[in-house]
Amino acid sequence: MYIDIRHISKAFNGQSALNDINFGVQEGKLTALLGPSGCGKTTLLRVLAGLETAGSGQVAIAGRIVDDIKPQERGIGFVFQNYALFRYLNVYDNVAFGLKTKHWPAAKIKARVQELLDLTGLSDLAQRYPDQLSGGQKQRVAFVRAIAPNPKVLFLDEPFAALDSQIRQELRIWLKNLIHQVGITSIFVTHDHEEAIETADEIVVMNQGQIQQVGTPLEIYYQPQNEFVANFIGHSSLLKNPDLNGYDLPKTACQVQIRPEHVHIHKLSKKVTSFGQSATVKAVQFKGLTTNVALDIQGQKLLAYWDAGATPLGIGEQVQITIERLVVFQNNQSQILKAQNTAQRQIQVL
Amino acid sequence: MEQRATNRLIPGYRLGLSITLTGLSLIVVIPFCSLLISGIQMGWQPFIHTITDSRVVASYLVSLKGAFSAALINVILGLVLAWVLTFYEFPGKKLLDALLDLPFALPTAVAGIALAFLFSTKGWLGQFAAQFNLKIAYTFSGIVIAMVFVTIPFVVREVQPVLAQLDETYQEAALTLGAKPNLIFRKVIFPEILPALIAGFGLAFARSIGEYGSIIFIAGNQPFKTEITPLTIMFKLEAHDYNGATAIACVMLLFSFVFIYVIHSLQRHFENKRLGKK
Repeated sequence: MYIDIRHISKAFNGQSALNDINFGVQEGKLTALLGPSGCGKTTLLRVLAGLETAGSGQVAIAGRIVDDIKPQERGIGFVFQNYALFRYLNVYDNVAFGLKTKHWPAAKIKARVQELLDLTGLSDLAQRYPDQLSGGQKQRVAFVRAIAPNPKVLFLDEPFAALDSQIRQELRIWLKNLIHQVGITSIFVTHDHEEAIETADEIVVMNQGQIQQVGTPLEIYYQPQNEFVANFIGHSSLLKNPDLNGYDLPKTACQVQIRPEHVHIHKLSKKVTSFGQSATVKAVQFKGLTTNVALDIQGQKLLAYWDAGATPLGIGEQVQITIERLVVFQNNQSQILKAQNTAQRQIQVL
Repeated sequence: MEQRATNRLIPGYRLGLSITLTGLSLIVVIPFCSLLISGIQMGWQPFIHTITDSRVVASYLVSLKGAFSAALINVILGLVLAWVLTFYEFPGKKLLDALLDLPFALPTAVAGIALAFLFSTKGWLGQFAAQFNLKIAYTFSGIVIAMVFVTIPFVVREVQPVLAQLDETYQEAALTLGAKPNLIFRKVIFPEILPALIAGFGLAFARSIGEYGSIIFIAGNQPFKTEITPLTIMFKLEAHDYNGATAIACVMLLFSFVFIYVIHSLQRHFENKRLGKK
């Protein structure tokens, strides 16, 4: 593993902030630390960078244990949430800063800065000062400044949090491409599950100072290991001890996660016989591409989608639903179940 | 101007401006003008003669040199004090912080007498300095010490809030880019506090030039050596030479104005540099 994190724990004033964190990052991969605010993800990133010290545990970067190495000598780049561009230096000098501290020869500094500014389309802004840049431009400069000295790893703390949604979307793709182009091993912190899923090669989900799950975006999305991950990533419904047709669910206490895209709603008016489940429409919210539907099933709330072009659903309307796939959580174990019989998944239209 | 002002959210443009201009005129502009007029009334020849008198010119130099030295010392001392008060925790910190404003509150004559007593050859510090063959009271050093004492809060109070608001991530960013503490201070922190240091320097300098009460007790007031300009004005007043006094006052006024203007221009220059205006 290129970045190796072993048994990292840290406490602030007796309050545990990080609790036995273990994971590794492969070379060249972009990893997301994902979790709600206060879960310890930024603290962990700062420990990796050497800006905070861990209570116990070990961090290795590129095969070297860095616990006693100062941040200056760890060979890292760090992008701060507020970018922290030096206000009294222009874009060029900001980017050159990390090269000057390493005493690169002037000609090499010039070539490197120019190369990076060209690569990122910032050449025209070289003489501008940070206060003259837009949020998106500052973000790019902060990124370029961090990678200029060829660090072994790049850490980004909520790199898109301060941007508005459209620019955020654009910069996510930009950053992902550039990181892969440069080939730098990176870890970024985010509280936004969509951002993590869209951008990262691998996601580390954290809550209350502990790792909940490590996996690719697909694994995290489709195979959540516990209720927290299921709830935090994407939209879904968690049902307690439901009785669902076509599923052999445990009789003892369990939780069932169902994603809205796996719920199919069928109108009764279409004259169908079905192997499905009765449900009542509780709320309908038009979202453009789809319509979000809140259903009542056995007294519990279940989210589903409805085709925006189809005959609208009325509130209070009785419908039939079939569920394609779900995840059962019981005794800290998770299990993926698919409808037992394909015939039960499909509705027979008479 | 009017157009822009009406678009502002803050009300009271006309009222505010009227009060400002009236107040400024009554308290600042009119007294200064009367000073200038009475200075000019005495006629060009005697005016030039008074202000270029060799003893008076020597006093300008004493005042300017003293004020400059005191302001410079205060920049360094004030920066260290502000730094300590902002970043370090120690017992008695709040007390020290409050104590710093005392020179503003103390009648300057009291300060002068205390300093003269302390630094005279029989005083505690004077005795100590005498061991190294240093004489402080009744010399130029005494003037500088009195000026430093009276103006020390200026730099501290200018720099302190800037340091307190300094975003720590700037320093962390510099750290992760491989900078050593020394470089971080020079390239990252210093440019941020430079405008405040300049402002503090300017205020300390201007106040030192005008200082009278605390200095005369410790200066010794020897003509051509330790006589400050405000004292020569007092002498003229005591000799009922009111025109002479105003003439010298006009020169001091000019010094101060030019100096404060330069300081403000410097501050604007740094601000514009950051905002990229030329």
